Amino acid sequence: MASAVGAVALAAELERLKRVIDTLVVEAARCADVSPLAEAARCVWRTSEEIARLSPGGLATGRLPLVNDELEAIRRDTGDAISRIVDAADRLLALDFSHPETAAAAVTEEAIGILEACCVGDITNQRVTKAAGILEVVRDRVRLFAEACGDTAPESETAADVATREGLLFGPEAEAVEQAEIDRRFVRRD
Amino acid sequence: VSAVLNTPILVVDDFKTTIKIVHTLLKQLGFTQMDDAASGAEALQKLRSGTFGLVISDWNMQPMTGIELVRAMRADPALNATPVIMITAEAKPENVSTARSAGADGYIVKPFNAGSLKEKLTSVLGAF
Repeated sequence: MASAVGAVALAAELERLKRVIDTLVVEAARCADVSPLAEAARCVWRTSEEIARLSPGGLATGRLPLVNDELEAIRRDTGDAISRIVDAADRLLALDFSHPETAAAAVTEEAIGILEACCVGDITNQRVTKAAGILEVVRDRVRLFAEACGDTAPESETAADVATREGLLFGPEAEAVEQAEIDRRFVRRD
Repeated sequence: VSAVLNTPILVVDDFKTTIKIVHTLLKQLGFTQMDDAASGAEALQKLRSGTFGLVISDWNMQPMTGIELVRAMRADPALNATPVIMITAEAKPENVSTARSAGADGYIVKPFNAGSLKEKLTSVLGAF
């Protein structure tokens, strides 16, 4: 008798479990509609492929430091050349013209030295070209990356961006006051 | 020879070439006593330990900019009367106003030439 009661209870329990399982199956089927997630995963995968293709590591450790090196070299070379030219000017100003032939020879020598120093223009031009080439590669890769991310809208400049850009373009002379106006301002104080 | 040409002048700039150019121009004009400093801080140290009749200073330097140097000098009774001419690429109206209110006596915009330097020296130190 007891076993009969137990069997009925077991059957009821099994029926209840069956209903739970059915519910879970329905829920599982609903959850199986993961297309947005799948699309997101595909996008992430595509982007990671693009990132790998763009070799950001190479840009960061190889090409971009080269730009820095080139700019540093330009600064150094230009400074050295200016120093050589200024030194030559100093020597020219100190020349003793009481011995014209000696002075003429010295002028020639110094002039040649100045011309040699001016060769920095050629070297600087080459370095600038090299740095610009690297920056072009970086620009192209960043553009490809932006396209892979779907970010193709042109960047909108804020007023501050424009001011910064124009300030960089014209350097210290942006909004410059003429020397005559500066003098007037200082005189007015007196 | 004008006594003005014996004025000890301190040239302050972190760009050695500018110092050299200013020294050369001053020498050409007949000045004989020039010294230099590479920052406002170094200049202030030299000014406090020596005697100078004029300071010609750049603006952008560290430590202590040219304008901070002018302010420090104007706040120091011993240096308050020493004239300062700024030579700088900073030529915006607000820069000029700042220099003027800080107590600079003259302001020359880079690039400059011997003529404009002589004109400022004459207006600050007198004819020579």
